[in-house]
Amino acid sequence: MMRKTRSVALLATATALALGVTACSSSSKSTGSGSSDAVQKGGTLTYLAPSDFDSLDPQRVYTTEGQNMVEEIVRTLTGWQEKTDGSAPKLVGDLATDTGEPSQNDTVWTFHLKPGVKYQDGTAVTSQDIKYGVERFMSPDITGGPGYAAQWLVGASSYKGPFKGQDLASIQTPDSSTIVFHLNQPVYDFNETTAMAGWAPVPKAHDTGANYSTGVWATGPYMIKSYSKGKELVLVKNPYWSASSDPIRDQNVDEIDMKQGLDRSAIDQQLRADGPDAMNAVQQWPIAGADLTQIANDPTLKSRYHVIKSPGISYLALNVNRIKDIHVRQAIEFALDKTTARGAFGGSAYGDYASTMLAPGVEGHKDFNLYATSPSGDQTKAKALLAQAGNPKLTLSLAVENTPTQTNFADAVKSSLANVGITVNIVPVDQANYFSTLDNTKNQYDMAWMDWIPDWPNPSTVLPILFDGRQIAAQPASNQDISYLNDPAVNSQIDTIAKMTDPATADAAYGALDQQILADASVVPLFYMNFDELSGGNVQGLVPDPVNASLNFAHVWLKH
Amino acid sequence: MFRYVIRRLLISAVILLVISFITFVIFFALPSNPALLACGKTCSVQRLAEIKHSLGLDQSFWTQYSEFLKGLFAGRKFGDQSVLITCAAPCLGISFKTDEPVLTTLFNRFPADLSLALGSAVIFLIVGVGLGVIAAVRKGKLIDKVAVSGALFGVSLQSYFVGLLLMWAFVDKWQILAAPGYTPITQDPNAWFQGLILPWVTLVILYLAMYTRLSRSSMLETMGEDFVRTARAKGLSRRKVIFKHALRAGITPIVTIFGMDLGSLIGGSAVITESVFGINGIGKLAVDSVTDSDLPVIMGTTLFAATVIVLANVVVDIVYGVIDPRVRLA
Repeated sequence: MMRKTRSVALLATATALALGVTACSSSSKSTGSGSSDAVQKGGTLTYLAPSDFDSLDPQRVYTTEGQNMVEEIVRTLTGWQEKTDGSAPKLVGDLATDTGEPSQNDTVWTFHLKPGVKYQDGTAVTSQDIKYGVERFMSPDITGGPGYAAQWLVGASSYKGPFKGQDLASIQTPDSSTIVFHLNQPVYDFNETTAMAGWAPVPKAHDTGANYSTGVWATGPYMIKSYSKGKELVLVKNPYWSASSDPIRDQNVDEIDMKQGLDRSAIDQQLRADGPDAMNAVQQWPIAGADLTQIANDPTLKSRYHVIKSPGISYLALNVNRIKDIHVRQAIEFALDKTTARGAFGGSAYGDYASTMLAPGVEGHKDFNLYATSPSGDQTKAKALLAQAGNPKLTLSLAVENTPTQTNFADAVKSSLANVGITVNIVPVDQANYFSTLDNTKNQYDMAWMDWIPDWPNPSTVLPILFDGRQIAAQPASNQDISYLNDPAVNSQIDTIAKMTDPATADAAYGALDQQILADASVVPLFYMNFDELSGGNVQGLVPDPVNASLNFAHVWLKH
Repeated sequence: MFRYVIRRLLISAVILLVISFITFVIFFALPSNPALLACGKTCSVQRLAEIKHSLGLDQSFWTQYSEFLKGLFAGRKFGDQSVLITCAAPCLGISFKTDEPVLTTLFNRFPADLSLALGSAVIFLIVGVGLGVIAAVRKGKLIDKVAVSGALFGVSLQSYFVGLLLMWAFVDKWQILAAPGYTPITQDPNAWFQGLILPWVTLVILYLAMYTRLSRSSMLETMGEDFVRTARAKGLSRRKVIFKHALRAGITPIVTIFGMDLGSLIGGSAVITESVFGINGIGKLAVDSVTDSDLPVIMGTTLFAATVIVLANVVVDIVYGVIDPRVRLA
């Protein structure tokens, strides 16, 4: 998934897995208070945002902020029940009665819908509406959004969407409350995919194609009252939302008023002051780097300062095609001073030092460290490795976004590597086009800053995407393997894991694969990313959501 | 005069055509790929081609440009699926990002810029010229020094800094004013006024110096002219000499600058002020469209700003004739 300003995870590559996992559904809803006060109803939650979402169309949204808001408007087949006790979110049936029934080696998934779930106009949700919604993914007019449906559903690669009256035969609806998906490969975590916004129903009669985002037909607790793109979005209560069938969300506030186009520093300033206009307000875009240290260390803000430990990773990709000698890459691993690098991003509030690519929140995370035990590096070891490489006179390019934060980060890397005799040329790349530039195989650098947040906390949405070298040739304009690692042993292990049948075995194998990849020294894991946000003094019930890497609104309420 | 205006308008149309062409050329010279941005991060070659076609980016430069020009007069239809988007003439295109007609977006944003520009312009024109006249009349006195140096201090400040400082003081610290922003005057006149106070003050601080200094020097020059001396010799009152004779003649260069400033402000040049105060105007739209590689909106905002500035120049030329009879005679 994508943060508004940062890249993140996406599509599992063509090598997905084959395990049978069926999490249990739950009928108990988390209260998610974050406060010992009794939940109060009413009021308007103000949402201060620097810009609009990528889209509110369920099939087009693909940022964490967008998805977080869309989840208040639409319900999906499955969803994540957020806990307030700090434990991992739990996958539950949302529109579906449970988390789905896999069969035929996880290539067929069946979901049964709960009875009585209605749209905002009181009409019933049917399985045909979900089929129609998922089919929209494949239309060229419905741009953006994740590509899982197109990748996994049988026949989807040549299907062009439902707008010309054609349907996708691999989605079957034997009755109005049953939907069956036929996949072209085993996908043991398919029911985690169906927790994404796009696996929501869209009533054909209300579909306005590319303009659907302004008129999304609600099944969640809130529906759109008005939406002026880039200016303001107002949500009000959906009168037909049923609390009894929804294990994930509450409907405590009367309205959610999102004001867009605000300056990020001004938002931070307003929320810090907690004046009359900010007391009922939240932000969703992370606190700007320059303000982060001050806010994180201000004791008066403690009760309103939220740290969201995302399962994301910030890392430095080392291009193995350009830095061919593994001793040099290992030397960089040891030489890098992560303390100064983290300082550029805002210090400890930005996240813990990383030594693995699978963050602690991701299933299969294995705790290991192949390189320097001190975050400030081991320059003696780095120099020894460079000596093994023949003490080459190195000048390496480093691509970063052209922002002050990233420039400071690049300076920190440059300084670290200068200590072991490596010269770094910093290449600032336009922030808005950073990832599309770096993802294109025509634009290669020796080193590049990157980050990644999984679409769901499963290693299948991290390692195959970032390190399956076969994608370099297969998708040259959107290659995610920025290290250009194309190690037959790694590729083979990715394929092997895909054939495993037990989730625990697969998770353990992914942990081992993480270590195998780090042994190639094609990447320097930097930080396990946190996202930091402030809320107004009256806002209660916010739950840090590691799946969406944002503050979840499911249980939000306002103190009067 | 009528023929003069028509001639100016025709020249303006040619200028706008040239600007539209140059903007198109610049966009195509940029390395960005809007289809790839729309497609997402893991985009197959096939889907990229389909989206390129859907956005009309698979056509040649000349086809795309001629389609754009045709849309201005005949309107256009977008999308080749059953769900079409119709863009009525004058069609500036459909935003790649929001799928809204660009003209609709511009009309939605325009009132914010108009409110911001007119409110601040009225203040900085009246106060700036007033201070300039006083400084000229009281040349060398304390008020002259205070007016000139104070205005100079204002223009030295940076709008981003001034904006955040004002917000911190009046909204967050003392809580005298509500959080700034734009509310349509038709919806709530009080909220409209309150929300624009700080943005107006910010712009006034930035623009005041130029008008003060310009009107001061212009007045000093004019007051040394023979016709002013003659007016004095005729026994006219000091007030009449200053306001009826000196100011009327001295204000001509100020009108020129004011026309340009007002035009560019309405066209969205106060982008930093818009950003700091969360006013979603055309300037902010223009900046966002560049970062999003949203060609139709880039074209729309550029042409809109150019049109407003060109028209402001035409109006200035007409106003010249009213202020200065010598222009009328010529």
